[in-house]
Amino acid sequence: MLNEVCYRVMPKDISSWDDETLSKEKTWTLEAYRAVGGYQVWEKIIREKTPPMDIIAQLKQSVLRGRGGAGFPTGLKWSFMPPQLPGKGEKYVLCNSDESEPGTCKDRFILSNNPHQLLEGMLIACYAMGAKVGYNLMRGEFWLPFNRCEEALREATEAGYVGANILGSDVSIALHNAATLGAYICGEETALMNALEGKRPNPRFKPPFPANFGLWGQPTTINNTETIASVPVILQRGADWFAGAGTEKSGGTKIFCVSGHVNKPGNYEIALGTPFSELLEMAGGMRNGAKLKAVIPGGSSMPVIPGDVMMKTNLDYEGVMQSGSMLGSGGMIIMDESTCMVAVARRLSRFYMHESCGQCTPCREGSGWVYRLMCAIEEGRAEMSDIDRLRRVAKQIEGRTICVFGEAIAWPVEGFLKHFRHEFEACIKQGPRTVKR
Amino acid sequence: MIDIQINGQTYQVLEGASIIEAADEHGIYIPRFCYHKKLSVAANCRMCLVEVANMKKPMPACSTPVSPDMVIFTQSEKALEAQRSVMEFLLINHPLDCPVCDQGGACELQDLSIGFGCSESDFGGDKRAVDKLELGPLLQTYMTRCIQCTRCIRFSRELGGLSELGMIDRGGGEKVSTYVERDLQSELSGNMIDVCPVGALTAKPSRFAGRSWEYVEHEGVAAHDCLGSNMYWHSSQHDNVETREVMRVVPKENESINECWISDRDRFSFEGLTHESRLLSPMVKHNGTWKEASWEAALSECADKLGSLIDSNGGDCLGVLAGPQTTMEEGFLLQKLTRALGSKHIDSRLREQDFSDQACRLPSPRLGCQIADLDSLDTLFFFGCDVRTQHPVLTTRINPSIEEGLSVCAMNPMDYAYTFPLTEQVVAGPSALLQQLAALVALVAKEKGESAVISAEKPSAQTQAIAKRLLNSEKIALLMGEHALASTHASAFRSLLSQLATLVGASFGELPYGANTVGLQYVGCVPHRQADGMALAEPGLDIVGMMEQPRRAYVLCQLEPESDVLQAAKTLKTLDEAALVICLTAFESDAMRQYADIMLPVAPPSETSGQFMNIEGSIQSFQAVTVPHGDARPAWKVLRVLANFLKLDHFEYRSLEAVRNDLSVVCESEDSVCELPILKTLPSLKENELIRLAPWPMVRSDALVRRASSLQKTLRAEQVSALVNAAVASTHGLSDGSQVKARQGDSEIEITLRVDDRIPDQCVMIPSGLSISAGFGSAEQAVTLEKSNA
Repeated sequence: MLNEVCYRVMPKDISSWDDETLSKEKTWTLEAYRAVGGYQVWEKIIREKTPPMDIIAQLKQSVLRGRGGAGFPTGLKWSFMPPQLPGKGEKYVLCNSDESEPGTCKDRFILSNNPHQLLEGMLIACYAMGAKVGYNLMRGEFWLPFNRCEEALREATEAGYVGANILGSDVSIALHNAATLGAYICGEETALMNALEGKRPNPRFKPPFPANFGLWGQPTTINNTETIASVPVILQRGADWFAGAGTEKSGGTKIFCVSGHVNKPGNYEIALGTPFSELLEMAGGMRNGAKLKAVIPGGSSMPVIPGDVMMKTNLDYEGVMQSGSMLGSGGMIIMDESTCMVAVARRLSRFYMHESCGQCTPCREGSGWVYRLMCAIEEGRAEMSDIDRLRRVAKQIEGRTICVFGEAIAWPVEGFLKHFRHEFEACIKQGPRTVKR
Repeated sequence: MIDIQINGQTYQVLEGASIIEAADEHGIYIPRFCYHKKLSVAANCRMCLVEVANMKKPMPACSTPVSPDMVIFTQSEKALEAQRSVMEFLLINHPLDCPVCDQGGACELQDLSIGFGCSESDFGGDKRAVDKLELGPLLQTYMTRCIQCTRCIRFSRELGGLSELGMIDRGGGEKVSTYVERDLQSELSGNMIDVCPVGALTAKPSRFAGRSWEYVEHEGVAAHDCLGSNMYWHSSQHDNVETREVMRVVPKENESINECWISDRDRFSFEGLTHESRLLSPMVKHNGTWKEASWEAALSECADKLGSLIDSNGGDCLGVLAGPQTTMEEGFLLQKLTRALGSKHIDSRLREQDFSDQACRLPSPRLGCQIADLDSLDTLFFFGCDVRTQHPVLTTRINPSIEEGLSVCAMNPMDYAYTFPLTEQVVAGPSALLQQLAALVALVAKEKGESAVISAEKPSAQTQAIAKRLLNSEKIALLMGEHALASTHASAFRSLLSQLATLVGASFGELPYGANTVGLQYVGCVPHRQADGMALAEPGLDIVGMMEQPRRAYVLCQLEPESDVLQAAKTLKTLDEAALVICLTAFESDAMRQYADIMLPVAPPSETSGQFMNIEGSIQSFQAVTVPHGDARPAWKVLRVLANFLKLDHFEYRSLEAVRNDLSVVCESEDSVCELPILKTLPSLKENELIRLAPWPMVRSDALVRRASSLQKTLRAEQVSALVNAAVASTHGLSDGSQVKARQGDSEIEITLRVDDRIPDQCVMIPSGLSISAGFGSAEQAVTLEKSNA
């Protein structure tokens, strides 16, 4: 079951996903999307006036969970959207395409190569939740994906799938593409709303939650690109088919972005519950036949897992959690024996220092402190007590901030110290370069 | 109300309140930096983290609403640990140089670090340094001390209405900035100093002047506008009253008036107290030369000269004017003295010139509602009122109310730069404004099915929109501002506005200039009513009449006619020609040396005790903070002794309290209903005249503030120039930046012209109160402009 949901328009063999082949096939066009059965679900919904509750019920049955990182059941989230009250103004569906998590590159492939499926998913989402307006908000650096989405939106509008009186019905839904100015924090759902409102993209405190007070103060549901793009296929092939693909609690397929020391890095859409070893095999195995040292399994903000543990792990939400980390966005960073874990931790902490929005004290001040301690350790300037200090500072950030960015700083630190403390100690004792290159 | 438990104790709290509000309500302190009860919740400092049962993470008390049976621990180990760690983070980049910080000793960070922090830090690196931010002459910044709580930003956006500050950059590099460096434009900027929990924003004028623990706090009432904002004077020197000085001014909380804000004028005007032009001893002019005199000599000279003039010409030869910083007691004595000398000619309405309806007006002006009512209106209608510069504190109620759905309409003689958006606005010169107001009244009357009393021209589109807005609103307040009160059409405006108020069921009130204009009218410093409120069958001369029918002698109490009255040129000429001019004044000026014969030094507001009445009609008393400078004396003592020298009866007051008691017996407060004459026809309007709009810039409104040096630096170029719109400029052949001669009768000044399309046709704005416009012409009257040859 490789690449059958979000990447269904693309060739099954990912080694042919080079620019040349893709531009020949033009998978992002309406024609290509229709050729794989695109928009049939949407046409059927419009034709049959499917009750919105039925769609949400199917999603619940499919066990689809949010693919952005938190893994919240999508059907349940959609059911939180309050019913339209007269005189209460708009409701919004917001697609979070601000994919910025290091190690994650799945959504950009959907946006650039299969944008119509995302549009169809957004139309279904708007319909199911009674929203008349949907926004697809991409990160500012997504130049090509943005243009592809704009072109797709134009095509879909011309074909009558989007806009007023869709396909001659009384359903009207407006969709818009928009871009942030490019900052990691824009991917936080409330920061994303601020960005779209033209404000500084600081995350908002909760409550109030977006379902009640979201975009411009109106009820809003925010989903990840992959989540929304999965919806048409789920409805087309049936909730049971999708749920059956995964495990009991983690339904369906998920895209894993494999990067690092493997022979064939790339996006693999596979059934949840697949053993990690199989994914590694798909990715061509370790580069130069090296030994697997560690894996960051869900984008850089998740704790690292040692290679031997990872080889025994099944890739679903529960499996990865049992191994001491989280599935997150599915960004698999594979590291072999040549990797200095102190350098990795230091580099990641620099990223989080640079991307902290700065509004909450623990994150603003703590992210820089963590980075400085990491630098001191890597450069051999630190004392042994700095390791505990590092752990303590990370702990002091975790759970004290408005958004989960605090956890994103803290968890990697805790993960690295838990499994690779000896490397940190060695740096302090012997100076840098504990790992031979 | 719901039950919650805090630290093991059960409390009843309001549903929907946040934990911090509930805790504050019951006197349980939770540490905070970003939370401020008057600002929106930011939840960014994380200092107020508390433990809530069944919650894994500590919760921010400011943004977590209470729920029934919530169990909260503000001092559990978990809560204290969270607070300690936030404090540790705050201090890693905050300089620990409290001894050289102006905020030291009055710093929330300092206090909370003692209460909730650790005595040692684990942090060993270098601290962050941030460039200084230049915000103008009032605020000193030291941004390295900033803890990014965003209170100043939220104040500026939500209450100041101007969004002058924001955050730039991110993470540890996040800083408060104006983005493009420029001075703050807000009239309320000083409040950012108060809301700043650390020493990042401090007051430039009082910086490093002393330590807060060395200061003595004295309650006071702001002396520059009619709201009566409450404030504290902070003075130096605990014990020695003789050497006490006012060091700074901060707001005092009064929920019904100024909440916790004051204007920059109220905060920084104290600098004028020590100006070099303070009159420090009585001065007497003999044959054109001024000599210092003892009080006894000066007062006996006053009595001799005044006595002999009255003996030979009758009391009628005396005219008396009182400025609005004159207290109620002083005003009471002044009118008593005037009337005891046989004169009816006393006035305190310095900035009015149309008194034709005075007999029908309220004994003293009123707002028509309470100040706090402005929070809950549907529609607020300003007529000729630059509320932003004249009554800045009112805008702290209006700006946030806009979010709540308040709509503000205005009819103004120029497009004032309000800090809030206007739903509808008519901008027109005084005559056109009168026509549009009449049209508005006629239109509303017609819509209401009442027969229109006044026949009017066709309403403009904006006037129609205002009518629609008024007809569709429930709670409305109409406010006639200082600019409309100064107009030659004031009585017509007032009549029409009160008709309009009746038609739409609105409250109607006035916003006159000055701290005690209201109180002075109340105690009878007007020619048409006595202190007891009794109307005189034959009123005396008002301020305009006193100049048109010159008196032989004048007594001026706390005003500078060259800069404080509407008809400055005529007033100066009349005073010059008078046989005797006695000035009770805190400051001298070149002009005063010209027209005065005797100058008696009296105490400005911080040096005298007394009472002011605000626009709500509340009487607020205050005590002297310091002894008067030099030989100056409180004006009430001067008046009392002058009366004794004049051998008048019933002036045997032994104390201020005795005056106050007498005043409260004589001046009965009565709820008079004003029945203004109904205007049937519009006064004949002169067309094709250029009218001089003459508003006072905020920092030029009275003698004290004109001498406050830091405030003077805030004057912008457009506030010291003549302004006309592009059409008027081109008809007169004038261009932006050119020098022009403005002429009113014999009076002439040269001033820089700027083209500004906020000014309507047929008008030129030449500000009053400036040093260049001192003694010039008549405000709100015809003027001619021509290009200067120079």
